[in-house]
Amino acid sequence: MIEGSGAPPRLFCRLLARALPSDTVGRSIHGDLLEEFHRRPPGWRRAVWFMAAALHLAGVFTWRRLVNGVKAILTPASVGDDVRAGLRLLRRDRGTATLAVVTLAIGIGSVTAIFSALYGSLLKPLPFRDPDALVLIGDRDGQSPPHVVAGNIALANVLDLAGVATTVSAVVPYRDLTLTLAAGGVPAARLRAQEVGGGFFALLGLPLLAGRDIHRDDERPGAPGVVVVSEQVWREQLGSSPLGGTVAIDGEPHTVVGIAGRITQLGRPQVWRPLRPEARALRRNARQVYAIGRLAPGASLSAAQVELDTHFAALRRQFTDIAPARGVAVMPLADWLIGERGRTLLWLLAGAVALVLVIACVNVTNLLLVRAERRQADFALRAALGATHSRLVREMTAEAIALSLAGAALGLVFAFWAVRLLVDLYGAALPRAWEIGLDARALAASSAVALAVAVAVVVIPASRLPRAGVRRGLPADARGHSRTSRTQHVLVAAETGIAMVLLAIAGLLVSTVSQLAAQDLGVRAEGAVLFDVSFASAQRSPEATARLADSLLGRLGSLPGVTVAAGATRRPLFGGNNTAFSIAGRGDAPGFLEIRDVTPRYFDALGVSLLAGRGFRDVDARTSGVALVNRTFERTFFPGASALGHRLTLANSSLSYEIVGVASDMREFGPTGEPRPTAYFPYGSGPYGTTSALTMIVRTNEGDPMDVVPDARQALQDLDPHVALADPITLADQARSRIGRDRLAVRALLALSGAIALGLTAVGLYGVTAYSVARRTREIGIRRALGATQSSVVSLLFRQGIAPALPGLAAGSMAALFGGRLVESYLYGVRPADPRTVIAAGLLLLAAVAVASWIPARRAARVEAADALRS
Amino acid sequence: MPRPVFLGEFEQLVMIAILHLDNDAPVLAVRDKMEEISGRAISRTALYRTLERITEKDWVDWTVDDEERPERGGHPRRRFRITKQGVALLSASRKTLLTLWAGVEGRLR
Repeated sequence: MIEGSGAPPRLFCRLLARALPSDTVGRSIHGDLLEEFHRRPPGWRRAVWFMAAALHLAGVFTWRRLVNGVKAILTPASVGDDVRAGLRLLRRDRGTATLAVVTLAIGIGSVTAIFSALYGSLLKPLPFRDPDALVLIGDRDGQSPPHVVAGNIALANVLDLAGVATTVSAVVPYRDLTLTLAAGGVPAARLRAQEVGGGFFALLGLPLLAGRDIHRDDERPGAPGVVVVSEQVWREQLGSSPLGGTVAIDGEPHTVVGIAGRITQLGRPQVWRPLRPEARALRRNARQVYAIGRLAPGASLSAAQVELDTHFAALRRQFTDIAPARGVAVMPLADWLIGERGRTLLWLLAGAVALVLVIACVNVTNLLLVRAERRQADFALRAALGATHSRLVREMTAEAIALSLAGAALGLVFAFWAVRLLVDLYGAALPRAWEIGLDARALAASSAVALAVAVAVVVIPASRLPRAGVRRGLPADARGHSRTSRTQHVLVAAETGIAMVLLAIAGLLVSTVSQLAAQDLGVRAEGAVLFDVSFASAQRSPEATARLADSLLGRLGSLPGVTVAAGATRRPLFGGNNTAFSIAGRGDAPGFLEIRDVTPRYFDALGVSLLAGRGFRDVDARTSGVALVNRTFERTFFPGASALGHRLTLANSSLSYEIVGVASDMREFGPTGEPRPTAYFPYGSGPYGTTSALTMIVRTNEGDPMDVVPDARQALQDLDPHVALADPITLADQARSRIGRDRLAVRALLALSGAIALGLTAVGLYGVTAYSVARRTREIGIRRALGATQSSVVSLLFRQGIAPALPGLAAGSMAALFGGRLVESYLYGVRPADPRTVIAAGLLLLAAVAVASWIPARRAARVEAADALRS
Repeated sequence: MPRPVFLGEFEQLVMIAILHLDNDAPVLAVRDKMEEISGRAISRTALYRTLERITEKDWVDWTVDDEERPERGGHPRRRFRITKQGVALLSASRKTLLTLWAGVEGRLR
């Protein structure tokens, strides 16, 4: 080449040389371009011309090579050959193959499991007709952003809005409740139910298996009671009897008019009946129902929101009892069903398993790199005998594909169990958990991931394969080794960093949950069980209901092992029911008050102590006018003084109650919620009257409190076969549930991801150290022969082994300090950038990598000098 | 009867240019000649691709120039010539064209 200022740009010459084929044709094309260059007048234009021409040629030839390569790979005969060769190679090296397959199975399996969860929960279309047009209409409170339904809305308001709205058609209100259904000789059952407006099934586009939809006529006052039941209820409770039969719902006769298929949405209701007339009372300020509507063709969500806002403002002008803070919100039904926290949870997990997959890929890349290094001489020989570069690459790819498909197959088994475990343990925290399962899509996803993994793990080792005509690896080439170990070090650093982030985040959640679990909820959680009963029946008078409740409490109290039984109108530790109130002698309305009606031994049953005054007596149930308050109430409204003897009056009521006692606080809203001012009233004479739905609390003195449930069920059956016992749970479990199932799920799954990342990183580092130590056997022998002690050799190898992990550890720690923010909403009692957690995670990881590099170092140092030198 | 083989326009242009150059021409000369005959710029990659294709079909072949040329940076130079098969094809193609035009040439004036 002519040197000097007139020479073509070197970089582009090199580029051209790489891109063009190395045969005569390729070199002559290169020559043609150089010749043409020298024919042109010197100057910068010539240089620019050359660069453009070289780039163009290089691009065209690279593309052609790529296309030809793909064509060659896709020839069936060559694929068969390559797969056979790949399998043969794997059989020869079973240890590496097994390790790689198991590593990939963990990575691909986790991804498949989480993909299934993501798909079932978030991505799968709702099983309704044209689900994207379905919207939920509900209350919007002052602070919430638009398109977020904050709660139920008054039925009267929704019906008025539905009457005038043009952007939303076919608005149907509904509300959730539980009902007791009794039919024939089958024991009564408490079922998840919905009261719905006419045309509910038609709106959703759900065909009934038999019978008819609920009609608007069914909602009229005085219309005969009708009910639609799910197929399961029809089979199990009604014994597959024909339509038109009569069942008792909360004691009232209803005609079965329809059978619906399984609905896994909207709280999985089992029974539907028309919205009852009493719910239609025109209370404009109540929170009663949600409504589902369908956007009119061409209408957008924001147009609907604007229109409903306008109509709601008109309603507010017309009805002065609508509170100023009330509004209306419309949001996509899908968003409502999925919910923000569930969505975050799943994406968080997806991120975690993606990182686990990356670590698994890094490990397998390292394994293949080591194998390629070991087989360098073999490759060089084959290249010298005429094997083309692409042939060797194809073989290596086939090997990687075989590995990753085997990994995916094993991973599917793993994913199958993982998905079941995920749904069993954390179904409550996942949106649409009942729709999660492994299916053909998961299979396709895992195969796709496997192929992507195969390509990912083969890129680096394949780039090290000898090219035709290049003599490398014959004899063993020191430069190749150092390049390999440099790459390995970078890979180890990367996986250590990723593992560090995962571990630190898992650590934050572990300490959150232990903080929450350590929080005293104010009850004696062990040894008590809760369950719901409903005595509802049209024929029963309030007195009869009260007598039934009394007899039930008496029977429960006399069961073997039971020490106390009590009842309450609200499940303890299950949130609250509040109302406005006032204190006699004070003009202002001091605020809101949590209220519950309870039976006399309620506080004993929960293990809540009485701080002042007296508890309830049996006689209080009949002589109205007393109340107990909690400590927070006294502190808030009577700071430094006693609340005893004062009287309080609830909003919308003329009755006043004298405070006769003060009980200690319970954290009804869970460990993160502060206790609220609460008043307790005697069941029977409190604000709820003789309500028919009660939660029973039964404390036992020995064994598992759940053991008492069958006896309790029997006692109830003896009293009245139409009354069912529902949702038994121990008080301890109820307390635990307040920690938040989503928090528990995130903790467990991230802890698992962290543990897997830790294990894989340790295995990866072990592999790298073992390989580098094995390669240095001679050097170790020489060191030993020259007088190095065993321990000095161990320490040298150990230090060198652990060195690549350290930069990863440092970078990972920095990243972990920021990574904590991702889970901030799940944290309690610990900061997202908690240095203690990061240090603990770092030490754990350091210990793991130390062990992983110490084991091979010690084994190598045990080798006798003479043996090492002879090897 | 074997299927008749037709030459594409670009292929004809390449082969006619080689003939113009005494049936022994390096690539750059071929391209210059093609541009001269056709009066338009000839794409480098199209030319290489066509040369490769018609070499594979045995219509042209090439030899490597022995002469040392420093401006080529030590890279070989190919010289192309038309094979017997290629000449036969060109002549058949010319004949076809002449037959096609017979009797209508006057209309173009």
